[in-house]
Amino acid sequence: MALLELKNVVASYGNINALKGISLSVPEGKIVTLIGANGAGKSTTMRTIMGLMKPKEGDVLFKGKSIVGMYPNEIVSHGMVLVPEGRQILQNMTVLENLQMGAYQRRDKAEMAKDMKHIFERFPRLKERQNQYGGTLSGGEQQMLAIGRAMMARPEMLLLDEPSMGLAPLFIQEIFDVIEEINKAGTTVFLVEQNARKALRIADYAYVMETGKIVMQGPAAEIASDPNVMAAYLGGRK
Amino acid sequence: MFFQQLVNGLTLGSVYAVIAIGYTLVFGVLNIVNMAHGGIIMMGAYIGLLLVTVAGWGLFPALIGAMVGGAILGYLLEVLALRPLRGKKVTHLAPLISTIGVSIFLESAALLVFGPQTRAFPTDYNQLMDFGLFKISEIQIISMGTAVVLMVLLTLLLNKTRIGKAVRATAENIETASLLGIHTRRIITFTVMLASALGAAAGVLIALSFNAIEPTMGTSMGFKGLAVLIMGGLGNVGGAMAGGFILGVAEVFSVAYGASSFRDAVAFGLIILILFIRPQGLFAKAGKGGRP
Repeated sequence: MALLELKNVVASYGNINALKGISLSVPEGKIVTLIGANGAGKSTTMRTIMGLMKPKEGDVLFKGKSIVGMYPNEIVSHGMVLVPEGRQILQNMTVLENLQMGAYQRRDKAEMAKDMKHIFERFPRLKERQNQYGGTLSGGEQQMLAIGRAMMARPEMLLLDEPSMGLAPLFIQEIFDVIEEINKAGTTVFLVEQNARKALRIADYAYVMETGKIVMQGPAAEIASDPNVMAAYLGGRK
Repeated sequence: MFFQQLVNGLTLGSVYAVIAIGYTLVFGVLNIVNMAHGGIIMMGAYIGLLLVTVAGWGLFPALIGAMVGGAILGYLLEVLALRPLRGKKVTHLAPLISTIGVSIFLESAALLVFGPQTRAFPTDYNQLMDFGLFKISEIQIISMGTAVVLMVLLTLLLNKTRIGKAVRATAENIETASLLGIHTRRIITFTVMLASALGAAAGVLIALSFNAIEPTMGTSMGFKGLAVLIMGGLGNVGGAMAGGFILGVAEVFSVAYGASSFRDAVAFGLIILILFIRPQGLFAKAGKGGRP
């Protein structure tokens, strides 16, 4: 069953249609990736799903129910969390406070402490720096914090927008490892990436996006071996 | 003389600091200067006065009553004057103009209801204590003590509680805060109410210190708070506190050492000077602070 489904979604900035009828579905328990070049509309798709933008047409279904018109905090309470583009760490709050804010809607203190412990075990660097301000972390550490913060919400569905952007290769590998682990632990993942090669390696299913439209889709392994993909990914004509 | 003026300056400064915190909290979450804050300060003073004179309450219950009244006014300000403009395709100056409208409304309403005459704030605390180096009145102790307690409580609220952290997150980045699951609209309302409650408390403290309440008192106090807001760095609570004390001390010293008619000129001269040297404010951190 599809946990998240987009039906013919159209969204625009003013008169410019950024999404020209996107349909896709993310089945429960899987990793689905949306790849494409800069400006293809990947981040707009994420923003529309999370309620930061309202679609002009179409529907977004989460667990079979429409979430169009909901505020982001309501969508979070339904179990879907976004790790936004550029991490968006709270610079003037400590690492620990950032993680606490991730669990803002939770009240189960004991379970929260358990999750916090798990995140600190997985990212020992965050533990070392727990009392430092978020703004003092390096890019890679901030991405780990952003993912850790999202995990603190214990989402059923995790959206990640360009988690590898601007990171050193070593960190990129680590981030993709973490995404796979999160998925194995039972969280459904929808991943937007420019780093198509890496994304396709961990994903089950893939969509390729170009100037506001889905131009190709299929099992990730098939997409990865398709000769047209690199051209599409670069944003050129096939 | 020096210590006496220092005590006077710190007392005045503590009240300025509370006023400036009210501005800075609202600026943090809404990115606007709340021009109605002066009006709320004035209303707080009148509510305190009515509770003391008409209802016969003691000073501290009246102070708390004024804060509750301030919070209610803050709620109305947010729901009636600010919320309808949010998310609409209006200029970003619209909410600023809207708060100016509220400020004019509050001042006119006070003029209509309470009349233009200056009223005294009756109090039993008129003892003067002599410490040798300086003398301090009971009113000064109450005023500074209350201001400091409010600032300590606010600091604890912002740093230790869930809702306080949500206020800080919303102030830093409203979109990120909403993605973390924070009900940002509710946090904005809460922040405006909190700021207005502090403003009303400051109004009572001013009424007490100057022993004068009038419908226009909010305007001059409001501008001073604004000066401190800019001096401390927009949206920076610690900066507002420090800035308040600096302005208070500077003002008192300028009066004491010969320039009493330049009292307000000192306040605003200080802003101009600081804006030349540190346009982002004295204590601004990277990011939010210093945005025009």
